[in-house]
Amino acid sequence: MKEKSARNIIITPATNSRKPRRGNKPGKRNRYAIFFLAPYIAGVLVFWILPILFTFAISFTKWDGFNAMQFIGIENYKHLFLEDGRFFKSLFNTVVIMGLSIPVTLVLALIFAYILSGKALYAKRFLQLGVFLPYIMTPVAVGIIFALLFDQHYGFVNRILMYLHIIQSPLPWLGNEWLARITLAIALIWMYCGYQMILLMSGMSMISEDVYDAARIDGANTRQVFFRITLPLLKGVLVFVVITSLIGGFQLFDEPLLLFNSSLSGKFPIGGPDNAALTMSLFFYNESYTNFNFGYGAAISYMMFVVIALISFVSMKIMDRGDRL
Amino acid sequence: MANISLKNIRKVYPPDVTAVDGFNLEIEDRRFVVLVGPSGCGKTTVLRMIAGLEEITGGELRIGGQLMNEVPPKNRDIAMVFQNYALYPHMTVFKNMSFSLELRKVPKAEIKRRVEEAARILDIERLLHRKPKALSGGQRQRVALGRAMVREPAVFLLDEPLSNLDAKLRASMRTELIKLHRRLETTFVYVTHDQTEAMTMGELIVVMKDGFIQQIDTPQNLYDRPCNAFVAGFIGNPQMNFMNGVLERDERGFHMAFAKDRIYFPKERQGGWMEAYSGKPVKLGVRPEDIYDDEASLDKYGDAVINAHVEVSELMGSEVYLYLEREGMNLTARVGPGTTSRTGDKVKVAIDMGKAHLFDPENENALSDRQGKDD
Amino acid sequence: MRIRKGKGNTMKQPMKKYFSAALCLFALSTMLFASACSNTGGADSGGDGAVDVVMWGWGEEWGFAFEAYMEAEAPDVNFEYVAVDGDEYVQKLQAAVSAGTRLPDIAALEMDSRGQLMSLGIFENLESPPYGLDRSEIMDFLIPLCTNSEGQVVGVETQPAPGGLAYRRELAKEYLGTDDPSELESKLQTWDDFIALGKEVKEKSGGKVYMFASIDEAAFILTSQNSQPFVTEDGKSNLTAALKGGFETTKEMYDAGIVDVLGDQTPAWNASLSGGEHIFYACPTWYPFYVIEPNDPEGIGQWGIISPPGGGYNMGGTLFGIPSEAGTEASRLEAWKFIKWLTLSEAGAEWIRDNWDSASSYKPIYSDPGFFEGQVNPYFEMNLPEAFLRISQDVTTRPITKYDTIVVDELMPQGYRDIEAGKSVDEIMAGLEKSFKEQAGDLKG
Repeated sequence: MKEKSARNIIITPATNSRKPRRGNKPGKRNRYAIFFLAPYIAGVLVFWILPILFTFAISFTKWDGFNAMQFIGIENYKHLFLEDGRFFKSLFNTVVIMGLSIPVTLVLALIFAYILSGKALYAKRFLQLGVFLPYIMTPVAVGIIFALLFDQHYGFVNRILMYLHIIQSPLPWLGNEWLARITLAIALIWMYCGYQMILLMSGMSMISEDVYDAARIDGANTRQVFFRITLPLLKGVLVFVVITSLIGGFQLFDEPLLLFNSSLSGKFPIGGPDNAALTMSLFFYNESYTNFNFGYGAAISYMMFVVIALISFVSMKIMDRGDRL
Repeated sequence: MANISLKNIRKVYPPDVTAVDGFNLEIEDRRFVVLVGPSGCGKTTVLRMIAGLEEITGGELRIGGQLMNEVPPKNRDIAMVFQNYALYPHMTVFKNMSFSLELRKVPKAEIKRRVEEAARILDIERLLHRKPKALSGGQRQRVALGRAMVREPAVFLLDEPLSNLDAKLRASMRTELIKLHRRLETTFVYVTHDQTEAMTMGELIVVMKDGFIQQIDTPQNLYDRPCNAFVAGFIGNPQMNFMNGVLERDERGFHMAFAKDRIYFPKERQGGWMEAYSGKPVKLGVRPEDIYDDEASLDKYGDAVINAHVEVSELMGSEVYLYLEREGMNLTARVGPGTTSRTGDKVKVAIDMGKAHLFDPENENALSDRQGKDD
Repeated sequence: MRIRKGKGNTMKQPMKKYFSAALCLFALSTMLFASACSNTGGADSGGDGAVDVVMWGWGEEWGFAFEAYMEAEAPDVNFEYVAVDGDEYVQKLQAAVSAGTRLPDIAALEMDSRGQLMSLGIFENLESPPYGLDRSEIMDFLIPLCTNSEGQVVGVETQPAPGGLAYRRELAKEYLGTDDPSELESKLQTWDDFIALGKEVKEKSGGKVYMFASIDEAAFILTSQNSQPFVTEDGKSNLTAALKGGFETTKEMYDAGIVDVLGDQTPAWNASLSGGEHIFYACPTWYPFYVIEPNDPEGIGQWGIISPPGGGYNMGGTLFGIPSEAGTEASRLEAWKFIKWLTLSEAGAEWIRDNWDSASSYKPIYSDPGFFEGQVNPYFEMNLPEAFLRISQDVTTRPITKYDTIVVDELMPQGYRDIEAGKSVDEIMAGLEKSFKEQAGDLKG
C-alpha cells in the first residue's frame, strides 16, 4: 500500500510540468473569473470612476443640467476662490463646528467608556445602550427634534434654562450665528458620543488586566493609571477616531440641513442664520441641485476633495510623529 | 524584617466560591518559598492576597509584623513578577523599570543608578531603549524581574514567571533565579504548577490542592515522607505508581497482590500498625525509581518480584522508562540505560518495598511509619 | 482508508463546468437586462391615430381637469397623467431632458422654481404660431407671472393665488371694534393705520394679542406689494428697490411689538391659528383649504378676509407650460388646446369655479360679479371667490427672474431673521446685496 501511494506522488508533478491539458483547471478558472468580476467592475466604473472624471470635466464648464454645457475654463474656480465669500465661510463653518464638537465628543466618550467599562456597575448595559442609541437615529429625526427642543419661544431647552434661572430671556438658539453653531455641535456630540464610546471601550478591553495589576503594585493611583497607562495604550483607537471624525466632519450635511430646513424649523437660508451652519457639503448641494449650477458645484466638490485629502494627510503625519517619540 | 505571616487566610468569591481556606503559613525573612499545586488550587490567589491585588476575606496577613490586610499594594513594600510579564507596552525598557520610582518621586540620578545596576545584573543593558514588542520572551522576563528589583522591596512575589518560556530557557532561568535570590538576600515567594521548579528552587514548599494546604515541608521531606497520596503523586517525575489492593498476611508476612504475584514488605517494616489494616483495603504507592529490572536487584528484593510485559519503553538517554502491564494493572519503572528490556518483552521487575508508601484508600492519608510531618 | 477518486466523478467534470458557465452567463445577462429595463415610466396607451398627451403633476385634480376637457371637447387624444412629487419635479424634468426621455406636454411650474425653469428657455412661446395666445385674455396682474425675461408668455396660471388678509372675527370685534370686512377695510386703508391700530391692540390686550403671527408673513406681504423686479434689465441687482420699503415697514411693526415671532408654517404657528392670540394672517386663495381649515377645524364662522392696505399681493400659484422638446408637434398642440380651454375660456372658468372653488386666469370673468354667486365658505361666512375677485383688481406682481429662488429662499429669510435680531434695514440690505452678488455669480452689479 505504502509503495503505491509513493509512486502516485512522484508521478503527479511530472504531469503538471507538461503542456496543460484542455481540461486543466488554471486556464479555465481565469476565464470564469472575468465573468464573475465583470458586473462589479462595471458598477465601480460607471458609478464611481466615471462620475469622478465627469465631475472634474464639468467643473470647467457652466451647465444648468438642461441646456448644453459651456466651456468657461477656470472661471468657476476663480469665482470660488476670489469672489465668493461662501467658500471660505463654509470652510470656516465646517472647521468651527468640528472644533466645537469633536474634542467634546471625544472627551465625553472617554469618560463614558472609562466609567462604563469598570466592573460591577449597576445597570451598566442599560447605560451603554442609552449612550449609544442616538447614533442609530436618522439625522432627519435628530434635526427635527433638535429644532423643536431649541426653538426660541416654545423649545424645552429655553424653558428649563429660564426655570432654573440660568437665563433671563429665551435665547435664540437657532437664530443667532454662534448659538446656531453651538446647537448644531450639541446635536453632533449627542449623536456620535456613543459610537466613539464603543470604539474606545473595545480598545480598552484589549489592554490586559495584568498591566493594571503591575501599575497598582508600582504605586500608580487611579488618575496616574488613566493618563500614563490607559490613554497611551488607546493611542491607536484615538487616532482612528480623530481621523474618521475629521473626514466625517468635512462631509457634514444631514444634520445642518435638517436642523435649519425642516418643516419645523421656520425659514432660514439653507445654512441657517447668516449661513452660519453652511458646511461645505451643504454649499455644494445648494449650488448644484437648488441653483442648478452644476459646473460651479463640481468645482466646489473638487475643492472639498483637496481640503479633505490635505487635512487627512497632515493629521496622519502628526499622529505618526507622536508615535515615534 | 520581612517575614510574612498568614494566619487562617480565607478567600471567598461571592456568592459561594471559596478559593482558599484555612491557610496558615510562616515565612522567614530571606527564604525562598514555593507555592505549588495543580491549576485552580488557589496558589495564585494567595500570592495576590499577599500582594494586595485581592481582598482578604478572612484571616490576618502580616509583613514584618505589621497587619497588611487593608494596606494598598504600593505601601506593602513588595514587588511582583507576572506570568505574562505585564510590561507596559508603550514604554521603553528603561521606563518600564523606572516607572515605580518615578511615581515615588525618587530623584533622577538615583533612578538611573538603580535601573542601570539592575540591567547590568540581568544582562539587559543594551536593551534599555527598546520597547517590549522588540524583545524575546526571555528578555521580557528579565525586564520584568528588573522592574521588580529596582524597587528594592522586602518581598519578591513571582507568579509562574517561567511558564511562558521554552524548556531550555526555563532550565537556565531557574538557575539564574536561584543565584539572584542568593545575591539579593530577599524573601522570594514563588508560585508554580511545575513540581520540578518547586523542587529545584524552593527552600520550603507549600503543596496546595483545592484551596487547602496539603503539606509544608522541605523538598526532600516531601519526596521521602508525603503526608497523603496527592502530595506523593504530585512530587516526583515520573509520577508515583498507585495500586489499590488488600493488605494480606500469610506465613511469610504482610504482602499485597500484583496480578498473580505477591509482593512482600520487608521485615523491618512489618509492625504492629499493619495489624490494624490486616485484611483491609489499602492504597500502595511505589515510585518508578524504586523498581528495578537488573539481576542484582532482582536478587536483593527477591520478595517483591513481579512478572509483567513491557507495553512501551522510552529511551531517555540517561535512563529508560518502562511502562509495564499485567492483567490490567499498570506500573511505570525507571531503570538504568544499560537495561535490556524493550517493548514487547516479558520481564521480571523487583520493587523496593522498603521505600513503598501506604495510604488509606478513603482519606488518602499516609499510613503510619512513612508519614511526613504534620500539616 | 484512502479516498479513491471513482470513475463516476471523472465523467461528471465537463458537465459541471458547462453548467456553471451557463449559470454565469445567465446571471450576467439577467442583470444587464433588468438594469436596462427600468425607468420608462408608463407606456403609451394604444395609438390608433390618436395623439398621446402626457401631463406630469403632483395634484391629481389636474388630471381630472383634463378628463373634463376630454368630455367637453372630445379631442382625439390618449391622455396620460403621471404623478410626480412636487419636491422632485424639477430634478425629474432635468433628468428627462438630459436622458432624452419623454417630457410631459403639460408641465406644472410652481412659483418656487418658476424663475429658474423659465430661464432655461425650454418652454414654448405660446404667443407664436401654432398656439396663438392672446395676452389680453389674461388677467392683468397675472401677466408678469407668465412672462419670461424675454417677454414671451410661456404658460398660463392655472390656479392664480392673489392674497388678502384673513382675520379672526372675535379678535377683530374685541380689539378693532368690528368684524365687518368693509368697515375693517376703511379702518385699515394704509399700513400706518395698521400699525397705529396695532399699538392700540397691544395696549388693550396687555401685550398678549398680536396683529401678525410671524415676521415672515408680514414681510412677504409688504415686499410683494411693489412691482420692482429683483434684477434690472441690464442684469444689475435691484434688491434694495424691491425689498427695502417692505422691510422698513416690517421693522416698524416688529419694533412696535405688534408682530409675533413664530416661524411661518411651524407647529407653533399652525397651533396659533386656533390659539386666539393673533388677528391677521396672509391668505392667498389656497390658504383656506390647505392651511386654515386643517389647523382650525373648529373655527367655522370665525374667519373673515379683507383686502390689505396697499392692495392685494400674489402668493404662490401654478403655471401650465409646454416644454419645447415634449412629444410631437401634434401632442404639444393638443396640450395647448387643453390649456386654453381650462384657463382662457368661460367653460374652463366655470369648471374651475365649480370644482376648485377658485377663479381662472380668464380676464372677462373678473368683471362679471355674478360669476361666483352663491359660493359661501362656511369658515369665512363670506363668498370667498368674490372677495378674491375684488382683491385681484389691484394686485401688484413683479416680473419673474431666474434669481427668484435665490432671493425668495435664501435672501429674504435671512432678512426676516435679521429684522428679528434687531439689525437696521440699511445693514440688512447691505448684507443681502453682498450675499446676492456672491450667490448669483453672473450679476453685473
